[in-house]
Amino acid sequence: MASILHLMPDLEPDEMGYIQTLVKPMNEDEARQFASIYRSRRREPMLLLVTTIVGFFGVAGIQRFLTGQIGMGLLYFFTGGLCLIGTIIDLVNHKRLAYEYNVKQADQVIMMMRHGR
Amino acid sequence: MSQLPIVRNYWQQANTWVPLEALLWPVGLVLLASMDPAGVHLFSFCPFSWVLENGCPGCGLGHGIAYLARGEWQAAWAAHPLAAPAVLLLLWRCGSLLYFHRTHSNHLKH
Repeated sequence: MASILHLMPDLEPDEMGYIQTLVKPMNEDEARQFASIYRSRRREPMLLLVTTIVGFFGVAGIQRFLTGQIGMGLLYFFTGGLCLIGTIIDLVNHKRLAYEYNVKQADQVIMMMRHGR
Repeated sequence: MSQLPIVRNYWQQANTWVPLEALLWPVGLVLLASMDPAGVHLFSFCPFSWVLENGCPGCGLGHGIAYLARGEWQAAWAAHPLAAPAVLLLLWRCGSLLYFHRTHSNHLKH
């Protein structure tokens, strides 16, 4: 039984709650492997916030590309962040966007590790 | 900007019940669809339209969606070519958000 708090103390609280449920049944080695793969794949909420703010001054939608939403990214890019409304929504919503993306990545890492065994 | 953390707090609390982003897109689409696209243009909330002569790349998107709701495909295309893809993408996004919420919401707590 491993604790993610020791391996990745930089996680957001929600995210840590979810990742802990994934890591709990693992032994120390597996948890360490999971943490190193997951760390390289997750996105910092701060990165999404900064790229959202870039949308006010020029290129909109980078935050959507970064979270794997290519369609929404293109839509934001070509419409000035849906006439700024989408950009404002993402400004408030950036933590949730990051959480959503990170949880999906964590699920994928778990799948990869099951296959690699 | 100092209000942002408070807004975000309320936002995150409400988000545990249903993802607000999945509510906002349909509300926006319904509002735009119920707008009269041929009416007189009185006032725009868009700050770009106050400054720039031709507006920003998103100009006409709302009119395009309103025309789509009335089945006037050519007028919608003329207003903004991305109007139809925008509606489809936003609905797709709402669907995937709700699916994510159904499969993962039991781990969200505030």
